[in-house]
Amino acid sequence: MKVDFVVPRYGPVGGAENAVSALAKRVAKHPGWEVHLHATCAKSSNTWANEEEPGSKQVGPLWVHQHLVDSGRTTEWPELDRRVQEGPSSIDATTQDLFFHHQGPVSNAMAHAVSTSNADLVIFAPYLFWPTIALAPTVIEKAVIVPAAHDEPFLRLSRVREVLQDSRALIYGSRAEQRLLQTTHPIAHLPSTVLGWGIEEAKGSNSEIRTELGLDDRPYAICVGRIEHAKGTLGLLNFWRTMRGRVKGNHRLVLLGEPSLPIEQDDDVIVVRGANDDAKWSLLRDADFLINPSAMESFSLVLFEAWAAGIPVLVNGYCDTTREHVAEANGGLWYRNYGEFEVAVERLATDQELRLRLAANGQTFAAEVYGWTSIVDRFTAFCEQLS
Amino acid sequence: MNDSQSDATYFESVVSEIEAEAQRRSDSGEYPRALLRSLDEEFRRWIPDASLENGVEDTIRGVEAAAYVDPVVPVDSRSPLGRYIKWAVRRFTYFYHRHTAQQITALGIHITRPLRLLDASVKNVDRRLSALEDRFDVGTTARAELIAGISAFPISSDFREVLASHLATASGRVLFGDQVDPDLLQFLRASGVDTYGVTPSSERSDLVDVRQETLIEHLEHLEDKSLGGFVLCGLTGRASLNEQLRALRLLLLRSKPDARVAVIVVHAETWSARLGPVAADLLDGRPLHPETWTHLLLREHALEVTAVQSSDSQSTLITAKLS
Repeated sequence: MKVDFVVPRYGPVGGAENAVSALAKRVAKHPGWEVHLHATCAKSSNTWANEEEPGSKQVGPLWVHQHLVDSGRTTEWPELDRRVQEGPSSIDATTQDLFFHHQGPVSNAMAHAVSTSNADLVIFAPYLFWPTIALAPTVIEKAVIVPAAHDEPFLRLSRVREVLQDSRALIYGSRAEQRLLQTTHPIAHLPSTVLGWGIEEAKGSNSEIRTELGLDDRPYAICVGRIEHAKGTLGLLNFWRTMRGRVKGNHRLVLLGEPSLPIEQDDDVIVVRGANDDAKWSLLRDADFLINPSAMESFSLVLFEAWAAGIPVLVNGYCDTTREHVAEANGGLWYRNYGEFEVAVERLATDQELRLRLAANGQTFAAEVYGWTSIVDRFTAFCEQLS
Repeated sequence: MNDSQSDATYFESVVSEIEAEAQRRSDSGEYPRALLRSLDEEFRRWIPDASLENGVEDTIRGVEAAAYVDPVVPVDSRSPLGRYIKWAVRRFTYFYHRHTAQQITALGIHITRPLRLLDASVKNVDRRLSALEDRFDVGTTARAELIAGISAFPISSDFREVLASHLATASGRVLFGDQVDPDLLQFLRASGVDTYGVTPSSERSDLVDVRQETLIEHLEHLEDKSLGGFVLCGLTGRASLNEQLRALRLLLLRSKPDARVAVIVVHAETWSARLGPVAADLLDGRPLHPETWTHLLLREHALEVTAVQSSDSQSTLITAKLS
C-alpha cells in the first residue's frame, strides 16, 4: 500500500499537521506500506514564509518532501477573511477561490507532486488551507480528507462542501467532529472513520527548565496553545483575574504559547513564549491541572498530553469534543460560565485526591482508546478497505 | 459496583456539586451583576451558536441580561485625580444616565416578552407532540427497559450468499443497520459490495467504517437518493411500529431509483418466546411479519420482491429492487 500525506507544514507546528505527521511516521513502519509526506517549507501559518530548505529527506522509513511556497498569506487576505466570516453562504465561488489562494500556502511544486502522485490514497489535512481545497480535486478519486474542523464560518463555504462531498473518504478526530460535519454537509454516506490522534512519547520533568523560566515552587494551572480570542485564552485570562480579585488562592496561571495581543504579566499570570517540546512536557508534569478554554476543537491533543503527564483537565463545557472526551474518560471537569469556572478551579486547586483520581482516569482512557497501536491498526484497516 | 461505575458516579457527583455551588453563589448575589454579565458575554462570544443548549431559553436570558443597563458608571482610574473627576461627572450626570438606562431597560423588556411567548408556544407544541406520540406507542424509555438484557438474534448465515448476490449490482454505497454483524459486513465487502454500518451500539465502534449513531439520526443527515441500497435489520425486531415505518420511509427517500434493498426480520413468535409475556404484550406489534414487509415494499412499487426463510425458521430475508 502506498499512501501520501499532504499538510501545509511539517514539524512540531500546528495541531492537525503535527498529529498527521506523527501518524505518518508510525504508518511508515507498518510492513508493506510506503508513506510519503508532502509539506511546504513554511512554519508560520501567519505568513507561510519559507523557513526550511526545499527537498526530500527520510525520517526513519517516512519520506518527507518539502516544497517552496510561491505565495503565502497576502495583504488581501484580511478583507477576504472578514467577508467570509460575516456571511459564508453568500460568497460566490470565485471569491472563495480567491480566499483560499490568499489564505495560502500556495505551492506549485507541491501541486505538481500531488497531481503526479502514484499513491493508492492521498490524505489531506486540515481542510482549511489551499493545499486541501485546491489540490484534493486534482486527485479526488483517491483523496481522503482529514477535516480537523470545528464549527466556524469557513466550514460552510460551498467550495468546502464540494471537496468533502467528492472525496473518497473522511477521517475524523472525534465523534463530535463527525456529527458536526455530517449535519453541515451531505456527506454522511461517504466512507469515514473516527480515528482520533495519538501523542508523541511523554517526556519527563526538568527542574532546570522551571528555574530558567523564573517559576518558583508556587503551584500552577497551565493552558497550552495560541493565546487569542478564538481559542478562548483571553476569556480565560479575564476569568482568572476576576477570580483572583474575589477569591484568594495559591495557584497561578501559566499560559504556554504565542500571544496575539500584548498580555500584561503579573505574579498570578505568567506567559511562556517559544517553549520547546522539553519545556512543554516539563511544565505540564509540574502543573496541578490543565485548562483548555477553547470551544472550537476537532480533537484537542493537549488534553491527552495532560493526561499522559498525569494531570487532570478543565475544559469549556460548550465544546462538544473536549466535553465528550472528559465525560468519557472521567478525566476532568468543565465550565459553562464564570460561576462554574470559579468553583471548578477552587475544587481542582484544593482537592488533591480529586486531581489524582481524574488524572488516573484520563491516563487510562488515553492509553486504551488513543494508543498508537490501536490508531495505526484502525487507520491501516480503513485504508485497506478503501483501496 | 465496579471501578469504572464508581468513577462515573463520583465524577457525576463532583460535576453536580460544582453546578449547584455556582448556582448558589449566583443566586445569593455574590457576583456583581454587571461583572458577571460582561464576563459571560465575552465567554459566549467565542462559542459556536450550535453548541448552545436550550437555544431559545439561552437567547432570552442573554437579551434579558443585556437589557439591564447599569447607570452607575465605573470610576476606577490610575490616578486619584482621574477617579475624582470621573466621580464628579457621574454625580452630576446621574439623572441623565438613569433616564436613558430606564428607557433601554424598558425596550429590553418589550423585546423579551414576545420571545418568552414564542418559547412558551414551542414548549407547548413539544408537550402536545410527546402526548401524541405516547398515544401511538409505548414510550421509548419504557421499551428500552423492557428489552434491556435481551440479546439480539444473530443474523442467519444462510442469508450471506443471497445478500452478496443481491447487492452485487448496487450502484452506490449500501447502508447496513442498525444491527451490525462484523462477519457478514466483512463477507459483503470481500464480495465487492461497498457497504458501511450504522449502529447505536458502542461495542461495534472499533469496526472499520461503522458509525456509532441511531439509524434514524443517520438517515436524517443523508441526502435524498444517496444510497445504492440498504440492509435493514435489528431495528426490525426492537423498534416501535412508528420507528420501523419511519426508518423505512427515510431509507426509501435516501435510496436511488434502482437501489437494491433488503430487510431481515426475526419472526414474531421467535421474539415473543424470548421476550416473555410482559414485554411481548407491551411491545405488541413488533416485529412485523415478513408478509407485512413484503406488502410495504410492494406498496412502494418495489420490483422482484422475494422472501427467503432461514433454515432454523427463525427469521426471513426479504429482498427487492426499487423502481
